[in-house]
Amino acid sequence: MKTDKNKLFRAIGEIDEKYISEILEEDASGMNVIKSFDAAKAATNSKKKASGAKKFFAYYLPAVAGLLVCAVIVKAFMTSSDNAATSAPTAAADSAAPASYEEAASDSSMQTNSVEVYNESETAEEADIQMAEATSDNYGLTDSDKYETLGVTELANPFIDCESLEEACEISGIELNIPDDFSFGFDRIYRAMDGRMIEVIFMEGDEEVYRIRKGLTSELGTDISGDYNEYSVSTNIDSANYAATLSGNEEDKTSLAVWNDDTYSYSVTFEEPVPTVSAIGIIDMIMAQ
Amino acid sequence: MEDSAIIDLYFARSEEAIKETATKYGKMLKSVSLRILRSIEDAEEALSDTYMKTWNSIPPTRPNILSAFLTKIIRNVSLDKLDAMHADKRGAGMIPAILDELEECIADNRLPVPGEGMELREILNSFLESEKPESRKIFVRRYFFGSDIKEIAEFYGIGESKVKMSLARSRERLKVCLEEEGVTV
Repeated sequence: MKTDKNKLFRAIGEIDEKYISEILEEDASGMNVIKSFDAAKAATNSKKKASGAKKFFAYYLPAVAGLLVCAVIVKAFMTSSDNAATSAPTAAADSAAPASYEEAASDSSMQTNSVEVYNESETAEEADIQMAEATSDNYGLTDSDKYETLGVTELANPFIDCESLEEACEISGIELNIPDDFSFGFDRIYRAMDGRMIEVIFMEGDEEVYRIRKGLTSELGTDISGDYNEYSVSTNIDSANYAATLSGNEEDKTSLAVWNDDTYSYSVTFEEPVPTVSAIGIIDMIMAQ
Repeated sequence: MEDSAIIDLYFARSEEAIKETATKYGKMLKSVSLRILRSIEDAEEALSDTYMKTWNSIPPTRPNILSAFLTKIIRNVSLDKLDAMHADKRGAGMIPAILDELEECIADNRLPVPGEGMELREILNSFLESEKPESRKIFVRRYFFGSDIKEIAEFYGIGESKVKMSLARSRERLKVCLEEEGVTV
């Protein structure tokens, strides 16, 4: 009898190569694997997570974002005496009700960081193409990296856990601005992909709140988020020093932000949707010169 | 290096072909062997044998999917080694456990006789084709790659019980396929 089960096990080794390839391709994306683990954890913690993180983003972050907008406007006010009387009240109103960053941007006559917002529907086709490219190139991992994820011990993780931001920067070779005003009270996990990507995960206890990734576009492609969800609402933000796509399932709420500059790709993924104004505040701080 | 270029190196009988294969697929292949042999030394030996067999197979064979082609070779090489070592116990319980699971698929603990009805390989391919992608992938991970339940569960972010349930149902469907298509003796 033992011969027969051995024979079946052997025969499974002769199955069509497409079924083997299916697995190898699935393993090819280290991001995929990591996201799977994250998804598992997120699913486990989703109920507990809502309270603290939601409160933080619903109340604290918009307030901080409002203060930041105020600060920028005050700066503009100080350098431009023309609109001194009208800028501050507008900003104050926005900070109190930050639902519409578009209004804040257009009303606030910011000369140094003007922001233009328009609907994603105009560029949906481009987005689809980008998504297809990201999928086809396995999120930018090189072939050797893809199969490193198959190793028994390396299965899950092409990242190296780091003790500090400095260590992560050193390993990845990438500098990253941390949005300190948006990480109050959060623990941080620093990770690096050798020479290609840095990642910071902001945690509240054992629960992820949001994560930032910055990686080499030439190595990893334009979307390094690893977020495969489809979102119903996408908004493009054009500012002086970046052009980002913010995605979510509600107006004025963001679950994912991705953008690029000449060298790097960036992403911020939020476990719970946050007000778009908060997401923009985070991006602004990451991209601060 | 692209797979097609590596295959061209084999056809040109350039030893660079093995070097490039090792660079691109060495770690992956070793991990497949490790799951079966559970010994780094044995896996490295199987890896060397795999390179040799590949060198001897290409040409004349021109693989459609080089990675899958190599994976099949190292799986067979590793199982040969396991047999040669009479190493059920050296498999740290993994392979015997998998074999015991597969035994459930076999009616009267017998498989179809080759040459009568569909070949076993064809039955397996037909079965896999009929499976839903999720259960098919779990099945292939477990019974081709030899992944353990926990590893599969973690990969897909699902519970171990769900993996076990998926495998049990797949085995039941495979048993039906084998009974329908095969000839038991």
